[in-house]
Amino acid sequence: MSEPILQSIRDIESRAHAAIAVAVAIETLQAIERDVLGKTGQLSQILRGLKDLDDSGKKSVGQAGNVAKRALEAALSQRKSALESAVIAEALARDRIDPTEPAPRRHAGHEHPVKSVMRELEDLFESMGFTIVDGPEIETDYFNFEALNIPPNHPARDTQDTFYVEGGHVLRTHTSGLQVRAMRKYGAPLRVVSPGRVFRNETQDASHEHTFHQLEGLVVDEGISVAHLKAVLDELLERIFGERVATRLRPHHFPFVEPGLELDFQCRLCGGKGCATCKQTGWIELCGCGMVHPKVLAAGNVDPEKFSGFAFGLGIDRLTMMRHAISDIRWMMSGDLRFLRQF
Amino acid sequence: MKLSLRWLTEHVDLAGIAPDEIGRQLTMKTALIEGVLRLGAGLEKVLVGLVVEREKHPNADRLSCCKVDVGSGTLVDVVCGAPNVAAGQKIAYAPVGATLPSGLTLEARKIRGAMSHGMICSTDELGLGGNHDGILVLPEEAPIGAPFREYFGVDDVIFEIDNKSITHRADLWGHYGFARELAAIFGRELRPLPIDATLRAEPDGFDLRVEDPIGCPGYLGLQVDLGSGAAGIPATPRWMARRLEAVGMRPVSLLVDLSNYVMLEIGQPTHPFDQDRLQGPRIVVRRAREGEKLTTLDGQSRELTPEDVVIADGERGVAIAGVMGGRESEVSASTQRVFLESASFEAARVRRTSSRLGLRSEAVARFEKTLDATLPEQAIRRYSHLLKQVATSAIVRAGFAAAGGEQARTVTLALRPERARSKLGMELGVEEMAARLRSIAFEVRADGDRLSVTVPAFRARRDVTCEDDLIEEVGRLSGYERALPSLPRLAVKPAMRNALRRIERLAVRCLVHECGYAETMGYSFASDRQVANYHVGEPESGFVHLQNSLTVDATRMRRSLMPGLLDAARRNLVEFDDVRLFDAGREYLPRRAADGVDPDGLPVERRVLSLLRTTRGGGVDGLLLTARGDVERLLDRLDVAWQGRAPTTPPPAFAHPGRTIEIAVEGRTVGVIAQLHPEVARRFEIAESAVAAEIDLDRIVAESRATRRMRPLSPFPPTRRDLAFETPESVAVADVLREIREAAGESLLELELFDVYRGKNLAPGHRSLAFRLVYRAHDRTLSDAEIEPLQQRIVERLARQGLKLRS
Repeated sequence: MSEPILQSIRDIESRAHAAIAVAVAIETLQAIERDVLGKTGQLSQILRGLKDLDDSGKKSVGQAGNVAKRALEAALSQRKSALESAVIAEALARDRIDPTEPAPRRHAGHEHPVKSVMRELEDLFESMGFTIVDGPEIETDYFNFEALNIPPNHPARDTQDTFYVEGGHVLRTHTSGLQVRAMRKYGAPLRVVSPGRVFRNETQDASHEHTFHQLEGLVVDEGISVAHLKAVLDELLERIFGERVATRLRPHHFPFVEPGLELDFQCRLCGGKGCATCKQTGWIELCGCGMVHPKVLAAGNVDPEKFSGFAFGLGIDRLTMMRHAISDIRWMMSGDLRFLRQF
Repeated sequence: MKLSLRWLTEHVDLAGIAPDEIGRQLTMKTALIEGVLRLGAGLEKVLVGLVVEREKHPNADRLSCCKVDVGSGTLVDVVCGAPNVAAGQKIAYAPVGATLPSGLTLEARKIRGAMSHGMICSTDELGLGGNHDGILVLPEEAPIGAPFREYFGVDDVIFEIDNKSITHRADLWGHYGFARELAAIFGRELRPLPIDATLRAEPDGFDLRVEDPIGCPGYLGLQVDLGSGAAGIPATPRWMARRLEAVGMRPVSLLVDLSNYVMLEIGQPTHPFDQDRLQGPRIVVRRAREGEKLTTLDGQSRELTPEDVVIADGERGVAIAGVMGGRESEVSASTQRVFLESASFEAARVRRTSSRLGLRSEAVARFEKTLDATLPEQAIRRYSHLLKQVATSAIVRAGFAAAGGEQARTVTLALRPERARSKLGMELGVEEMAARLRSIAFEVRADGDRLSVTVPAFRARRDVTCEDDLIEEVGRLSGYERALPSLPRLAVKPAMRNALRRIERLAVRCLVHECGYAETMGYSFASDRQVANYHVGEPESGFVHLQNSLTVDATRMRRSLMPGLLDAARRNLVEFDDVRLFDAGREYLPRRAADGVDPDGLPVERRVLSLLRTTRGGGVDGLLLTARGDVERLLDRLDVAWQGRAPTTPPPAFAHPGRTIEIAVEGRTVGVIAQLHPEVARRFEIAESAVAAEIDLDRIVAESRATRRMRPLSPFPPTRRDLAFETPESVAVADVLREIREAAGESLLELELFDVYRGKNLAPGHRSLAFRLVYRAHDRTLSDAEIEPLQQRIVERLARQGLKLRS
């Protein structure tokens, strides 16, 4: 009684297996699944007829039907994943790009190189506990000169160096004016840096600008010495160049420091052997510095007997030029995008 | 300034020390040496020779065939091209194998058929400068076969000093001062300066008066009779001429060269007058009369003021004190009597006169440093000593005229060794400190736990005046390499925050990295052209004026960053289609009553951020909104709650008045975004659509909030609705947004204008505004039944304003 049904199950199964074996598209497999295993599929219809069979028939046909169903499901899934793998393999074999083709250009912005070096230095000094202070760019004669032990008729005041504005004021010729302002405002002990724009009434050429940028540093505390100054500037250079750099201090005269010093670092192009960049000396001048003059401490209302301090003034433009191999300082203030977009 | 090693070694024995080491030690302990130059390099093989015979070259009219005696026993054949070569001349002969300063190595070769072994040299070929017109002819007494370099005095080393590093050291403006330093550095002995000890300060029939004792604290005059005719003034000795040349001073004549020599040796300028050309003879040192004229040695007529000190004779001014001598009393070849001035002049006056006249001289460079009061007398004694050596027929009057009588001053200072150690950060014993100071002629004695130090007159004027100056002397002579770097131990006190810097950083992040602007920096000046084109009608009193600007590009301080940005934009549009620039800088304005009082009376400096955006060929409406978006993004980053509104104050010059968005924070104006005013665009030649903005950073610093607070998030889903209204142009978006918010109440979580449309299917004078509304509650999912009445309320409310819902 159940034998013809069993036979038709075997027929359905073998036909389906044959069809699965030759299927080359996922859609064909989906059609086979629908036609055989779907709700109204051939096998489903047979199994739905079980209720008309006797118990032994139910058992044998049900069993055979389920076995066939599982076998077909396994065959379908196997074939499907084989076909999918083939599709992926084909895509992998086919899909190629030109890895040298550039991305479409996006409009990018640019940070000014001088400002970016300045910000980097600010970060460094802030990490060492220095407060960043700002001061007026139009400065009094007193803070720019007199308080810094530059009396009237000192050569540094030559009219050809200083821009004067109405009221006897000057465009600050250095950021050092902040020394006395900061001491008066915050007292001692004190750790400040003051980056900013300074002015010199000079004719412009590739290495001279009438407008440029400095970063003034000042530490006032008890027992501050030349050895401390050197250590802090060594740290600065290590940050700028990413490694320890040989330095030397040598005497120089600035009226507001005593002793007055200049810090040189070993030329990185020739390693100190002498080249055109370091003018054959093996050394490049980084900044003027020294121990704050007792008169300057006194002008800042700081007791020179109790406190001592060091100060330094870095030229940011020159440092930026060195870092980026910029040969002409006049690019800095040019506003020229051909220059700015390189940074 | 240049130093000659030969000259230095006359005063200090430097045997066995390499020139480079001398240069290095001076740099590390005294003053920066910018270069060490070897004179006469390449002349090692050049010899003094005698041209025994000279014949015309058989095959060339311009060449000569010479036989030269170089002391080797045989005559050498040399072909020479110089027109001035002649038999009997002593010459400089470069043999075969010599490599001259030019790099040329000589070989024996045939020139037009005649053999030539070596070369008869010109000064040019010897690397001594000068011209190539002819060979160098040496004096008759030159010894045949002698090494030329030594004979001619060119085996010297020149040290180039950075003048800026000796501005405070009047004593270093001559060789003797540096010899003293070298003696101290290398532990050698400084030889006493040979001087004429026979001179006495006795007026000897010369009328000398100083009427301006402040301008001229001391004045000495030495009289010299030279005799006349051939026995008169001899030539400057070669060694002296070579030394002067070696340090960059051109030899002129003995009297002038001696004066220069003394100056370059001890730093005291002197001036020789032709005494027979002085009326009187009399010398009066006085203030110049207003408008008094004097022709200086360089032939320029100079107009003087009473601020200047002049040296006058019985009738008129003959020299500008400390600056330059006068032409009319200049010494010459026929001079028979000399009056040599050696004086002290007030440094400040000399400087002021020099800079007013624009006349710098070697004398000014020295007088402006405030010279040692003992120098004038030393100078005449040294001058006399040298003159007597060189010109034996000259009669120096033993009594010199003197006026003023300025006293040399020494200073005694206390030095606390502990303070020196603490300031220098060096391990230094008291004995070493004392020895260092003694090595540069300071007198030191122990005074309890201190050292009592007497500073010699040549350092005591302006240079060493306090204890820390002594500490510097100890430090530099000990060598700063002995200060071993050690980071200071300071309190762990965090830095105070700089609010402006925080805003600038955020501006960079937003404008540069998110909105594609280039950060630029403009000059703080306004040019005449910018003022004419931008600040139309602005009174001059609105600017801070520069008093000594060099050019018309910098006559005033800028009162806006915009002209600079406009100029930069125009230049960049030549090469770029899309220009976005911003500048955070300062504007400078005269202080008005409303600005409040500055304790120092300084002008107002406003910190401003300005930006400008322009696109070739783009529409201006879109650009204006894009720029507004840039500013919005920036202000949002800064946590500033702001509104854009129509101008309530007159907009800045760059703004198109009808297309200006005023930025208001808490009702106060902090900036402006606007389309570029067409007139400004025309004047600055910007033909493309351009939009600019200005933000007052000082106000933003005050308004910017430091922190954001999180809004609670609802777990229930949102409901989105879009509404579009036909809106009269006269109704502002801000008003519509407010009406919608008020109508919808607190369930409306987000409201956004997502489209503005103008064009077809709209009534004239209307545009379509499309809004996206997001409703959401915190405690339930909102149902349509709850939302519909809200939507209805919005539509009804806007209808009353003349807005029609579009379907």
